[in-house]
Amino acid sequence: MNKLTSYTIKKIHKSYIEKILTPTSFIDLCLQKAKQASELNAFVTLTVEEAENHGIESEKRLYIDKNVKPLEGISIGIKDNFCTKNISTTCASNMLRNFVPTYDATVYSRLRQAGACLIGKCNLDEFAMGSGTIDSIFGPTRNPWGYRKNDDKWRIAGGSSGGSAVAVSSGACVAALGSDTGGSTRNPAALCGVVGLKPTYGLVSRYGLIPLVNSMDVPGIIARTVEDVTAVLNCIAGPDELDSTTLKRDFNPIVMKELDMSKIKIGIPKEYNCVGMSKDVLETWQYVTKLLKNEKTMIRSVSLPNTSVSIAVYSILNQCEVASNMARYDGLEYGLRANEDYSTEELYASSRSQGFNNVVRWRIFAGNYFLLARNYDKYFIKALKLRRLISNDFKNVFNGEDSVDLLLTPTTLTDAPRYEDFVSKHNRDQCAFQDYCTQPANMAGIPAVSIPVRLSNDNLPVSLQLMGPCLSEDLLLNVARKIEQLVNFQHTHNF
Amino acid sequence: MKYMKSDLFKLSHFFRRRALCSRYVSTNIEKWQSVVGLEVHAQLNTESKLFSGAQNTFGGLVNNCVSLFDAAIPGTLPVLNRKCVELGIMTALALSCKINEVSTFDRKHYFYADLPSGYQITQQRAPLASDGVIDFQVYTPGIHKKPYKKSSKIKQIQLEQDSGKSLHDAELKRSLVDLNRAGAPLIELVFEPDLEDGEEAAALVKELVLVVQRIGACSGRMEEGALRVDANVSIRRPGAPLSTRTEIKNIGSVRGVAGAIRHEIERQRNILENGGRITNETRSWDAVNKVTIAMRDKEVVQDYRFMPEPNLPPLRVNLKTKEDSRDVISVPLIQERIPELPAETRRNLIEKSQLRPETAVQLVNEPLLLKHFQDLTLDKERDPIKVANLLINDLLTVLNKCKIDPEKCPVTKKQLVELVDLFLSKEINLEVCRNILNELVTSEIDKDKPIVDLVHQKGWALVTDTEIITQLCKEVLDNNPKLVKQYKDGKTKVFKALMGILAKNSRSKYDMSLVSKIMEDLLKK
Amino acid sequence: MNYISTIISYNKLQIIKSAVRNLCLKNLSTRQAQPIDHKEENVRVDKNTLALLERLSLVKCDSTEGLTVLEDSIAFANKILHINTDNVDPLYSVLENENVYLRNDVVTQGDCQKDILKNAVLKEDDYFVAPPGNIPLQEIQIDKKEQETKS
Repeated sequence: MNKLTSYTIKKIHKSYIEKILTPTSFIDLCLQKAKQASELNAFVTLTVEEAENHGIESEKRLYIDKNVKPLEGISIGIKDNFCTKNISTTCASNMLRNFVPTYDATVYSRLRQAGACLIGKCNLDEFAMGSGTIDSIFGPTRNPWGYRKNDDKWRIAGGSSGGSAVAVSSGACVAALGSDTGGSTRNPAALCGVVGLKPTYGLVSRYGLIPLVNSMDVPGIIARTVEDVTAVLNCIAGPDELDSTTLKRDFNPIVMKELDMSKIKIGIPKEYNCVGMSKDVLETWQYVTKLLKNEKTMIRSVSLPNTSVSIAVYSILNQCEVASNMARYDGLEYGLRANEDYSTEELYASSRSQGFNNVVRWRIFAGNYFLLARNYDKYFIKALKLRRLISNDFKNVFNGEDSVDLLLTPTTLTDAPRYEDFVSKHNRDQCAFQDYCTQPANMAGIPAVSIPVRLSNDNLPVSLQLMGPCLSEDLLLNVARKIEQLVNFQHTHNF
Repeated sequence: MKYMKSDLFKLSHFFRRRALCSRYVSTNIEKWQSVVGLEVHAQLNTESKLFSGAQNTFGGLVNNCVSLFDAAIPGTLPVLNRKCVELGIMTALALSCKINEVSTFDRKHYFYADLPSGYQITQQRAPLASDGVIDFQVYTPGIHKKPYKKSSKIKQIQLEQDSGKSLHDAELKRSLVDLNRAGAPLIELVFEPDLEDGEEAAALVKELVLVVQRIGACSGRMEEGALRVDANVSIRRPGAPLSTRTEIKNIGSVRGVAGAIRHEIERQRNILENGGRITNETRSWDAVNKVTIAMRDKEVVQDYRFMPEPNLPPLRVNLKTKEDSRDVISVPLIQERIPELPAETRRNLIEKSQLRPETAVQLVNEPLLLKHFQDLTLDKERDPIKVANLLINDLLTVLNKCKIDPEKCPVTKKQLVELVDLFLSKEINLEVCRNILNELVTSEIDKDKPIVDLVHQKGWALVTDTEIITQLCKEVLDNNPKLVKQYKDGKTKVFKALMGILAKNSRSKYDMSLVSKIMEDLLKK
Repeated sequence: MNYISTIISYNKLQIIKSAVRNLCLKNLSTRQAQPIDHKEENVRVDKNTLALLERLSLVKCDSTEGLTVLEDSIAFANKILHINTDNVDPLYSVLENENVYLRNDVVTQGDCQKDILKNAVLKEDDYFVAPPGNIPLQEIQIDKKEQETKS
């Protein structure tokens, strides 16, 4: 069994203090693991030198200064769409293949200030567009679960933060940052059997996160336990002057505590039981519901009537913002630059066509179509109105007479698909649903966490998702931890 | 009389205005009516840029006053500068606009080398302010006999980003891009098309420049690009709806506004009278050759695909109370801070200092001269009309002739004080005054040298000694008995001739009103 | 609310079917896209609009495949058009009730010319270098053709 996957922050710090383990030796173990797991292709860049230096600094602080920061000597991975100073940041795209930022994303610098050590930049779908981490110029990322060497039947890791999820699932990192626009952190976390948190929109700074949809993106946190996810959140959450979309209110660190589950009301939205959901997932949902009932938790069926419209609305808004956000990639100040010099238009068109894959280019096209003056009201404004209806659905269940505190739903509709199935046309049904349960939370800006529960009949992780009202991370994570204790999920893949 | 005096006045005013306009429109005035609407961009005078903390200045190293956000480096985000909002609100209040309690930002998309993010952040849907009006006086000496009041409605005032600069290298077929100006703060003022000609437009721009200068929002220097005017010009039959317009860009001065529009109206009229059609296009003003030239069209069809800027929550202001917080600005507090505006200064000059309207207009138009006026008339009981006339009729004329910007007038306050006092105490006459001003402006006179020294050096002192003057008059009368006889016979007109002889023959300067009185007395004897 | 539920449940399958097609397509970058049947929706984008989009997007689009994907995206989006949103305001941002943060007017950034220029492929004397501007794409195709026929 993979020993590294049993490590938690608490355990590691205890080992450091007892000198059973030191930061430099631990970081070394993680780097070894990353190299050993290289065929999983979780990393775009392994930042060996930085990791070692960070480890040395941690060691000094621990043993000489006797100062233990919250994430001292903890190995982390950062999705390769967060800017890291002097470290290549590619977004898995030819457009930014040679881009080296001159600044750090706020979340990264806060992690560093908390003593974390960077193992590497994690793989993703190009510009975070995808739910499989297979659309990267560096090749797809493979799920360690069910993985056999030289086997074509490997499973996808989910996306778009697949690299971050695999980095954690394989043990190379204790925690990793992903981004979540429509489920991009929760989806791979679910498929890889780890915990994935999407915080409230505005709680965590996006400064330095290369955007996909500015109005929905949030930095996401992946770790093997809820407690570790919480520890990371406590280090990175809070207002940032450099990001005007952060809530300008002090963030109070979340403390893990014992809850009286009988005082909690959990809603089960009926619309989340949808066509295509696998038996494993449905049964897991029922299983946890039962476990909660045993704890005297109040369980109630609720309705979020506009759920099924969400995908269409999301696709319109997503494409429009993509068209806008990608307008800056022209090769002049940074990025891939083609050789045309006849005119600026020609240069731009060539650079952008060479730099972007199909997915990105088609979204730009569609987005510009919906934003044309003649189409703006018809599509864009219409989508925004429906977005309000979707958001109101959540407000209605969380407030008022028959309100609930949290919602319990599946994260994905199935366990991890095989790569060959994911890309084949016959099983196209599978991939469409992957966002079904996750993207409504992004539309409303509410927090959501995915927790691994148990294994499916194929011995692959099945996870469930908890959602709560804005800024309810305290309750959300504490209930998640309770469920985690009740289900006692084990990381049994042998990678 | 059945007709009211005021009606007659109105009628005559109307015809006079029409007659004035006719100099610049065809003789068949009733055939065409020109319509002008302006769009003005003013650079805000702040330390840092609109959405970034980079320095808001245009000198210095290339691409050095640029933050990562200004260069559209991926992952960077806009943060709004409070001072820009304050200046925008103050300008809007000074122009009687309605401040919108909530305003938002939008992205306007187009590709251009000096626009690194591929879009400009502006306020199209819900701007900072709307529905205002600018009142101003139209008066160009030599064109208008008297000033007249004109208004132009303001559709909206919005905050937006400036673009960088590209230098075109035709030889090497490329552009060099400097982003120092990228992201600099602008306010755009959109006026309704309710002006009629270039002079009105120039007067509007002049008034606007004065207002923003006084508020401290903008330097107003068009030559430096701090204030940019685009003019939309069309002509139509009176009563007909608005027809195709052209947009004129690249106007670098207030007079340029008048010239460009005048030329364009003429050009359009010629086309229409020869049976042609006007194309909706953008034209550039060539100030050297004084023509407008068609610019190469950016795109035949352009769609800016406006989209709300998702990285900026709404901007809210407090319209009601003086309570000010970090993120919510109190508009009443800003209202209090507005200094005296040009219109009020003109009113004071007319009512309190008894100046003629045209003098008041011209004086207010030249802030430095206005300051001199205010300083001079503050200290003593100096006659404001005489001081104003000296500054406007004499000093300004010299400056204009020497093509010196009145704002850079080399004559010091000290020199003016001395000059004015010499003049008012009749130690020198007006002609000498003009000569002295000429000297002060054109020669390298030591600024500390007293004017009176110069006067004596040149022999320009005004003689007021009655004995000397009496002597002089007697000489003239003695030498011209024929004229004396004619005068005594009743031909009083020859008095002028006698005065002329005296003036011609004397080398010194005499107080001519005194001479006149003495001469008259002598002749009575 | 009931009306919406009915519509939604009726269209659910259709929506899901189209969603499947579209979202799977996005993952087929390395494989040839299969022709899609969009019999139920007759979405056609005319040549002028396509040309306009090419100019506005400045990405070269493989015309047949690109057009198909675009029309499919539009067909998918069309599903929501008839849903009743009377008296509903657009939700521009989940932060609509927050006030934008106002920064003090102090110089805190810039003065980093090296950083600004660091990632540029082509520079000259600290300027960014661009080709001449404002020549529409269509002109370029024509000009290039002329060049080709000449040589």
